Amino acid sequence: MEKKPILSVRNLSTHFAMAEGTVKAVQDVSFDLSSDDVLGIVGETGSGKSVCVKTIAGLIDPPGYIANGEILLYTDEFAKDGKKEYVDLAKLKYESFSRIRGKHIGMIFQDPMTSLNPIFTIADQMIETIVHHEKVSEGEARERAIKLLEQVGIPKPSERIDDYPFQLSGGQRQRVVIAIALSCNPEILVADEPSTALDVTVQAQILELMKELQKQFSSSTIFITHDLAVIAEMATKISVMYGGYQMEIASVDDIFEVPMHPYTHALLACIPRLDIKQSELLPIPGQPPVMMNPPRLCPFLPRCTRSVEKCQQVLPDLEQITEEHFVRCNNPVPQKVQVVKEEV
Amino acid sequence: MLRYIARRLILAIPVLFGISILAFMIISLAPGDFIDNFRMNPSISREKIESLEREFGFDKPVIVQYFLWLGQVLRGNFGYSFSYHVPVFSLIWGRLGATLLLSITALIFSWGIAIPLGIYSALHQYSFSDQAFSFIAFIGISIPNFFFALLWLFMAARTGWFPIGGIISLDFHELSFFGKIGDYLWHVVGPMVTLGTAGLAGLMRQMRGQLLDQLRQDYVLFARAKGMPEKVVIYKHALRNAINPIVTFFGFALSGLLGGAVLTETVFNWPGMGRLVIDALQQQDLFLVMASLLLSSLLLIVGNLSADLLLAWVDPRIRYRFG
Amino acid sequence: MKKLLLVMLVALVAVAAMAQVEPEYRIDPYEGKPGGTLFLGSIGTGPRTFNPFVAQETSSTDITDLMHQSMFNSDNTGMPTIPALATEWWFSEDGRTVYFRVRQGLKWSDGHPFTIEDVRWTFEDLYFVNEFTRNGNATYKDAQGFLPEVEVDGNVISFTWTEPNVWSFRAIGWGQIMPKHVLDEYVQAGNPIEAWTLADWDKIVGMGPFMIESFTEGVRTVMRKNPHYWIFDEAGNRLPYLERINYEVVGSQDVLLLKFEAGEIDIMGPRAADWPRIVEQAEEKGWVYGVGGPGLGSDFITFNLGHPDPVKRSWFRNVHFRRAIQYMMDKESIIDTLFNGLGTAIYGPVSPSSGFFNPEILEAFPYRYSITRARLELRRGGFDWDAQGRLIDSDGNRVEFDLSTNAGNITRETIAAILVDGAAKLGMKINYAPADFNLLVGKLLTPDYDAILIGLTGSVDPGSGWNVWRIDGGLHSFNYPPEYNPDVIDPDIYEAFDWEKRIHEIFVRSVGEVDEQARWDLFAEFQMIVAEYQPYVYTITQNYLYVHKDSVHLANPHPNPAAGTLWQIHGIWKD
Repeated sequence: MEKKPILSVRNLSTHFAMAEGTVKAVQDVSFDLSSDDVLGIVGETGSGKSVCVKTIAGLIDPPGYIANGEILLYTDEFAKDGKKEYVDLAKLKYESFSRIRGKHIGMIFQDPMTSLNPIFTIADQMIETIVHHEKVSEGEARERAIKLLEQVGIPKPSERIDDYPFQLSGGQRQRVVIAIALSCNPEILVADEPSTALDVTVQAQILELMKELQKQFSSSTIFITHDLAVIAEMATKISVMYGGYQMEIASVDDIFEVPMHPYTHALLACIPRLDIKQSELLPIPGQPPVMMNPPRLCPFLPRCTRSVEKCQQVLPDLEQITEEHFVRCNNPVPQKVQVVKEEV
Repeated sequence: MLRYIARRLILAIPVLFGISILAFMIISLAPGDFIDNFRMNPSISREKIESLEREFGFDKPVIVQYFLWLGQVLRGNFGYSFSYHVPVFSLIWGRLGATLLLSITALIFSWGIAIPLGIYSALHQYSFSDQAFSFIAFIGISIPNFFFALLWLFMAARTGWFPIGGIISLDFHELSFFGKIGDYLWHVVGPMVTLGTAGLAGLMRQMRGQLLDQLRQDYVLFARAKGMPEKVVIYKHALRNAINPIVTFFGFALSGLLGGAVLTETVFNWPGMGRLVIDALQQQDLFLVMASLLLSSLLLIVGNLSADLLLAWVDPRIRYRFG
Repeated sequence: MKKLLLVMLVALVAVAAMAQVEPEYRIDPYEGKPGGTLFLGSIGTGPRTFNPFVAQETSSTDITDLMHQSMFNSDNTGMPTIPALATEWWFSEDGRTVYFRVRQGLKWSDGHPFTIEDVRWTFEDLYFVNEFTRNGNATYKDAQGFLPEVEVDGNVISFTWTEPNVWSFRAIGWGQIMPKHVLDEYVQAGNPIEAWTLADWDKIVGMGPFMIESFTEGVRTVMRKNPHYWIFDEAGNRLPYLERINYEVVGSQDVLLLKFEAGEIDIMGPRAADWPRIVEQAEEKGWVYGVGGPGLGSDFITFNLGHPDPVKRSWFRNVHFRRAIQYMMDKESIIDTLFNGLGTAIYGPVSPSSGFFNPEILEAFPYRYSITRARLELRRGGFDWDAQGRLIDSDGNRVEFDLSTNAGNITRETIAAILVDGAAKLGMKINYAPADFNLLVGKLLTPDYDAILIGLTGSVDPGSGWNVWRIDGGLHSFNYPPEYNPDVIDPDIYEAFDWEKRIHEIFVRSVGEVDEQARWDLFAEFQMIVAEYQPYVYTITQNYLYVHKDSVHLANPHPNPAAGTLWQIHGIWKD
């Protein structure tokens, strides 16, 4: 039996109606997420990757709105007969979302320093989540919280749980955030640049922890980053976003081995690699695209070195190349080994 | 915590001392003195003026006057009012009740309205009602107190709904206990609304701004992401944080309880301290001014301290800093 | 001698009747109805003390005046002609002694008998002691600085000075008699100034028509009729008619007016600015309103005749210069601006409302507003104009000086502004800057000023101005002698003018002038001199305005600044 994807995003577009015009933050994004999948969404600041996951979690407030598309979550949360079915989160009422978030979709944000409410204890913030979703007593929730803290590697969890966020270090706070996100065993964990704001060493620890937990909790994960290198080891799939569009989506191997989009190439060129010789790191020339009322053309066009005549006329569709490899380009890089591996 | 409070109170003593020197010098060195009105009285002789100067101690150097006064104060004697011939604190106590009744009700009035409206406005940012509240509040802030008071009294005189100033009715002494309380409240409405509306707009905007600011914080997003219902997100997470600066504000409001209502008091015939002190200042009734200044300074210190304590109570970060 | 015999005879009869003295009540010709409460407003913060010899401001004296009585009362022109606690008074042949025959058989408000000893004690033991009253005892001294000898003979008390002393006689006649049985303990302790503070409102005893029934500080004073009052009407009712008077503290004139319109206040003195509003509503609301005469006080400009700067001094000492200032003042427009036309131009130190006013000054010195006359006076004074039309003195100095008044007094600030305007038309430059009252008083009394616009409380009797007009007076601020302040006034600069000396002499002489007409003549001459030499340049005053409900029947047929709406309050009654 073919495994059904747990989350299927179809042609999702999120726009912001501003006084100056419409900001098209996310355009025509589609992907499937199966359990055990770790989807990495990669892109520069402003590429729409954060908005994309916030849309999925129903965290877009006016003036933002879903302009188009479906977000299908395979869940029994709203089923009357207990059978799992696809629910379109794009059409879900705002109030109902609190049954999805935290319970089915756990989220971790960029800055652990500000993700926790400064004036409530860790216990308070963990317990309220567990009690809300799992309908258990506070005492039971507390026990679970302590256990979770232990799992995320907080020492002496039964004491630290009564601490306030400001009494913890940055790394510890992010561990707490992760613990909260995982507290209700969500099917999907969304991590929005979870390590960016941390020290390099702590960053590594957190990533290690996430990898471990991902296996342990076997939840599928969406991992957002602007740094391909960060998720190279973790992700099973990578979606490269630029100017609100998905440029390329493929398995992690394909992205690294046979990238087809010129932008993916440019991104790869930015990663310092130890396994190949690089004369220099190549910055991508040009400026990130303007999101306000963009023309219906490839957003990477102004910076693209491979643009052709056609690029000036039409926006390319997301074309399927192989079963799991999609690319949006009029003039993709031919599928051949681009970078010859050399023995180091 | 008790040690902290004790330390703060001990630190207040040199502050009060400094304030008293400064105030005494400023009042004494300002041109003229209490006897000026006597000097301008055609029927009082120069000899009498000189004997008054001796009586009030104005013939001595200011610094000597100050230490004579301070010596008395340290023995608990704050001196006599020049114009009332009674100990200054008996005057101040007599008016303290009316002052507090007005300032506390005005405080409750303005806070009771401003906080909910501020929250509502923040949650309905840019909506019609948000704009309408702001508009009304700014009208309140831009009408001068005395004018608002006169408008109110005019309304009261026309409709008879409220008394034309004053603090008690003519038949006050015949009223029952609850009747008396009701009579006070009936009289306090006008000055309360006058004073309250003046502070309303600022407080409302403050509350609105603070809450909007907090609603944009990451922890609010995270609380939502945890699946917390909107009520919990707003009233537990955002509001508790937004209240912190407002609490500091409240401490300052406490310290302003004794002053700042002179015009309102005057128009409403409210027998409060503001009028007493302004009159005393104009007449240079030195000891009365000094006593009220010291009392206000003390209240300012206590107000600041209580603001800090309140803040510590609502904000664990401050609490832990105290150790 | 005959008179003395008669006095002794009467005294003998009195002593004989002492066993059962028939109370010497006064009978007044009022026909009112007893009962009711009169509602009055007191602007400000209310009384500060109930001690009549400490009280300075009207908010206190309005109340204390109701509780006490004096030897004589004023008639409704302000003249002391009506017998009160004394049935009659007269001078000795040599004028050095004044006698008062004191009423017998009366009682204090607490029922304690009132005797001539109370009168003797009030003056000799209380008012004559400089430290015991706020105003001091100077007013009871004769020109030699002596207090009178006091003697009691039966029901007659006499005061004898070393020389005739009319001014002190009046002061004694106006002096409120205090109860010895209540206040003697304070006098013995040497601190009568501390008696009868606000806290003692229920301990006050007096001979006046009303006593305090209840007092709430800063709110109101309720007064109740004195059950032992000693004036009756012809129908045999013990006065006052009113059962109570309710004095409500009112913060401002605006609120007083609102309260009056709402019927909460019975009588008020409105501002000129509110007058049209009063008149408009009067018929519909049944109000009685009227305009008395011009007020007793007036604002005036004083120039520093002893200015250290010889140039300015020469201007200020120049009588033509001061007259020019009087001419250039457009008083009518000031009155229209400030008082809705309900004011009067004032040209001298005595108000036209006073019985001492000398109307001849208006004919002798008709200072009507005229820039032409002002220019003429300046030219006479040796002033001229330069090519730009600027006023210069005979030495070619540009005429420019400072003028100040107390900031916040709208009347004075308006007058000053119009003055500056008028001066500009004459090419004269006035640098006007208002100053804080205390600062202004300091400058005036140093003296350290060019010109100041200020006012003094006025009264009917010009004799009250002795402190201003006598050269040795504390308020002789236009030309202090060097002895006043040797640090500031250079004897080489100082000059006493003949007219100034004459005024001084008038004031000294008037004190000893027992004959009323002769005394009147002296003050008439005084007014003439002031009109001619303009030591103070007088400006304007508001007319006395009043309005009351028609249910209130005043005792005063023509309320005026000398005797207001509350004159003879025991005769006021309500429907």
